[in-house]
Amino acid sequence: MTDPITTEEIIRLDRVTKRFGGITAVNDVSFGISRGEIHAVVGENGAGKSTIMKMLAGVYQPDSGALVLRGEPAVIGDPLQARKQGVSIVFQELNLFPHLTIAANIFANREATHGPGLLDERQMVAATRRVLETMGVDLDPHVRVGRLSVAEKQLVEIARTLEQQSEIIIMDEPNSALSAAETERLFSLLRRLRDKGLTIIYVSHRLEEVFAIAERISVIRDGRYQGTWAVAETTIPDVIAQMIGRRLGETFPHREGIDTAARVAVAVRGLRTGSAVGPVDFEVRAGEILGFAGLEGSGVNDVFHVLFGLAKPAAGEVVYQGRVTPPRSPFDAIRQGFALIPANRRDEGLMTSWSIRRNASLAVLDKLLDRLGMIDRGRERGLATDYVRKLNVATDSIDKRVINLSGGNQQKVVVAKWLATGPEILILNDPTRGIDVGAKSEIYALCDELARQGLALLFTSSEIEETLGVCDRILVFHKGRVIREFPRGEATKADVMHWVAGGIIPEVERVLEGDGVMG
Amino acid sequence: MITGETAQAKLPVRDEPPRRGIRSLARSVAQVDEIGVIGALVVLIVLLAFLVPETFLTPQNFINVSRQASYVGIMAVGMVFVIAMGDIDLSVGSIWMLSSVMMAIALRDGYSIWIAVAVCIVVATACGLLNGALSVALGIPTIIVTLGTLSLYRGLGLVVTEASPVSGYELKTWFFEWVGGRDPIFGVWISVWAALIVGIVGWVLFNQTAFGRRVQAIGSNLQAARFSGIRIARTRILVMTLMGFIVGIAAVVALAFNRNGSPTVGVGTELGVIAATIIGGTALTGGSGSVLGAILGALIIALIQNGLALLAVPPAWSVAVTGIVIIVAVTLDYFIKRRS
Repeated sequence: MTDPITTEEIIRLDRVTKRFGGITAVNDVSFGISRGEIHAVVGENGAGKSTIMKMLAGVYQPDSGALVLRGEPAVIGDPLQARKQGVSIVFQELNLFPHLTIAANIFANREATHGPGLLDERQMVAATRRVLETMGVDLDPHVRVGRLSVAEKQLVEIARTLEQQSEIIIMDEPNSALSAAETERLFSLLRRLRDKGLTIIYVSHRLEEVFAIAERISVIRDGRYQGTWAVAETTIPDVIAQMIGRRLGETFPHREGIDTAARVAVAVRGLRTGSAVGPVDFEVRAGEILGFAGLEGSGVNDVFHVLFGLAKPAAGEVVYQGRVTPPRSPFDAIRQGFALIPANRRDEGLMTSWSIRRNASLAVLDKLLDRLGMIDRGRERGLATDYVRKLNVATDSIDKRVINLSGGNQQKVVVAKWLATGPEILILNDPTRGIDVGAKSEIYALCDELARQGLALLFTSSEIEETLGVCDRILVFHKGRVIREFPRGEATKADVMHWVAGGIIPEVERVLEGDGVMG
Repeated sequence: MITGETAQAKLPVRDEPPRRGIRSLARSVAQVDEIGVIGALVVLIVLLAFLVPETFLTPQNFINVSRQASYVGIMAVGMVFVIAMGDIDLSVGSIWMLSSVMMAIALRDGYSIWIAVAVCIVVATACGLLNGALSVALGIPTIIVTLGTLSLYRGLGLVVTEASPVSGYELKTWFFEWVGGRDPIFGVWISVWAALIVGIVGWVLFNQTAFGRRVQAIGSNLQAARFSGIRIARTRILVMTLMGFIVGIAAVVALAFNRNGSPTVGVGTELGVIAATIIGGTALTGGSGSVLGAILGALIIALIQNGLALLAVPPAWSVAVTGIVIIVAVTLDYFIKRRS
C-alpha cells in the first residue's frame, strides 16, 4: 500500500481526531506525506478532508493525536505558525484583497519597509517579480488583483506561499472554477514546483484530475482514513469504491412507480442561459419526484433559478398552466404555484433574526390580511403553529428566533414557509445540507408525502445517494447539459458519480458530440 | 436512531404569549424596543426638573417643546421605514425647503390654500419618488442618490425664490390662524396633533400591514427577501416616495406656523431626523425599527435644546450635547438588549 520510493516523510498525522460538538469530523487518522511528492487527498463532501487540511495549516487544533513535521512532533497553533514552519494553504475561496496590487497582496501584513514604517514598494515589486518569474507566470506586480481571472488569482496565492519560503503547499479544491486549459497550466506549474523539491497536497473530489496530477492518493471516508495508493497501481473505480464504501442506511421512503398518465406539471424545452447552459429539455409530472445530479456549475442551479423567476433564460420555453414563458420574477413564480427551497438557507431562505412565525408567514402575507388590510395575528399564529406541529419543529414557541434553532429545525421553517404558499411545483435545492440524520429522514418522508398529494417535485442534493433514494428519475447534468437519465433503481451511486464527472470512459465524449441527450 | 432534536420535538408547542411574573415582566420590559429611548427620556426629564424646576416644569414649556419636536417627529416616522429597509434619505431637509417655498409661491401668486397645500405635498412626494426611482434605475445606493438630491432640491429652491423669503400673502386666514395655532381644548399646537396622527398611521403601517413587514424583510436580508417573492424595486420606490410625502405633511404644518416660505428652512434637518430615528431604537443596519421610538427620539432632541436654553448654555453647545446624547441613548439601548 505504501510507496516504496518513500524516503522521507515531511509531514505525518498520527492518530489525529477532531470533533465539532457531537460530530466526529476526523476519526483516528494516521498517514504521511513524502517530501517532494504531489499527494492527493480525496473523499466525498463532508468526508473530513478539509478538516484535516485545516489542522495541517493551523486553522484547527486536533482534539487528540499529533502532527509530526520533518520527523519532529509539531504544534501548529495558528496559520501564522504554520507558515513559519513552511506549511501554507491555498483555500478554495481565495483570500485576496481585490483592491490591492499583486505585490501588495503577496506582502500583505508583512510589508517590506525602510525608514520609520514607510513602505519599500520597490523591494516588494522586485521580490514579486522574481517569484512570478520562477513560476513562469507573466503577470505585472502592479496590477490590481480584482482585475485578474480566478486562475490568475490562484497563481497569486501560490506566489504568496512561495515568497514565504513554504515547503508544503496545500491546495484545497483548486480547480473547481478553472477551464481545462487553466487546469493544465496549473498542473504544469505544480509539477515544476515538485521538481524543485516542494511538497504539494492536493485536495479534490474530481478523480480524473487527481489521477492526472498526483503520485499517490489517500482516501478519507466518513472521517476515517481508508488507505494510500500509488496512482500507477490503482484505478478510478477502485478509488470510487473506497470513497463511497458501505454506508449506514439512511432510510428512504418506498416509492411506487410513477403514474405515466398523470398530467405534465412543467415542461422545459430547449432552455439555454447566458452562462453556457443548455439546451436542456425535460418534463415533470404531477406526483413525480424528478432528481437532478451535477457538480457545482453544471447547470442545475441555473435551471432552478430560471424556473423560479430569479434568472432570465437566453432561449427556450417553460410550459406550465398554458403559459410558455418562465416566471418573470419570484413574485410571478409564487403566483403560478412554484416554490423554491433555496440551497443556502441562511442567505436565501430565512430572516435569521426573525421569529419562526414571521418567517413562516412572509411569503403568504397577502393571504393573511383582515378586512382592513392588516395582518391577522390570529391567523398568522395559527399558520405557524400548524406547520411547527406538522413538520415537528423542535421549539417551545413560535416566537423563538430562528437563529436559536438547530440547522434541521431552521430548514423545517424554510419548508413551512414554502408549503404555506400551497405550491404545485416544489423545487428543493439541496434541502438537507448541514442538517442531522433525523431531520434528513423527515425531509425524505415529506417529499414522498407531497408527491403523493400530487405535487411535482424537482430535487437535487450534494449527496448523490440522497437523490438516488428520494427520486423517481434522475437527470445527470454535465457542463450545462443533460448527459444521462436514470429511472429509479437503475443506477448505483458509482454510476451517477461516473456520469456527473462527465463520464470517464470516452463514450461520453461521443455522446456529447452527437445529439447531446441520451437515456 | 433518535436524535436530540426529534426527541425534543414532542414538547407541546406554545402559541400564546409567555406567562406573567415579576421576572418575566422585567424581561419583557427589557424586550420593549423603545426601552433605551424611554429610559433616556425619563432621565432627561428628571434631570431638568431637578436643575431648573421653575422654568422647566411648566405647561407652557412642554407645549413649546412639543411643537419644536413635532416637525422632526413627523419626518422621523418616514425615516423609520427608510432605515429599517436598509436605506437612508439625506435629502429630507431640502425636500422640506423646496416643497415649502413652492407652497408659499403658490399662495403669493394668488392660488387658494387647497391648491397650495396640494402643490406642497405633490412636490415633496415627487422628490421622494425621484430619490427612489433614481436609486433603483441606476442601481446606486440611496445614500449617494440623496446626497446628490440634497443639493439638487435645495438648489432648485434657491432658484425659484432667488434666495429670499417668499411672503406677501394674506395671513389672516383659517389656515395660518388655525393650522398654525393651538387647539382650543388642550392648548396644544396643531403640528403636535399632526405628529401624533402621522405617528399612529405610521405605526399601523409599519407593524400591522404586509407592506411594513416586507420593508423590514428587505432590510433584514435582501437576498432572502428576493427569494421570498418580495418585489424589492417596487417596495424601495414606495418607501422613498412615502418619505417624501411625509416631509410634505411636515412642511405644510411648519409653514402654517412660520408663515413665510424661508429658503433657509430645513438646513441640517436630515441629521436631526436620522438621529431621532436611531435614538428611537431603529437599527442603522436595517431589519427592524420603531415608530414610537422615533417620535420619542425627536422629543429628546427638542428637550435637550430646551434644557440647555433654560440653563443659559450658549446655543452652540447644545449642538455638541445633542451628539453626546445620541451616543448615550444608542449605547444604553444596545447594552440593555444584549443583556436580556
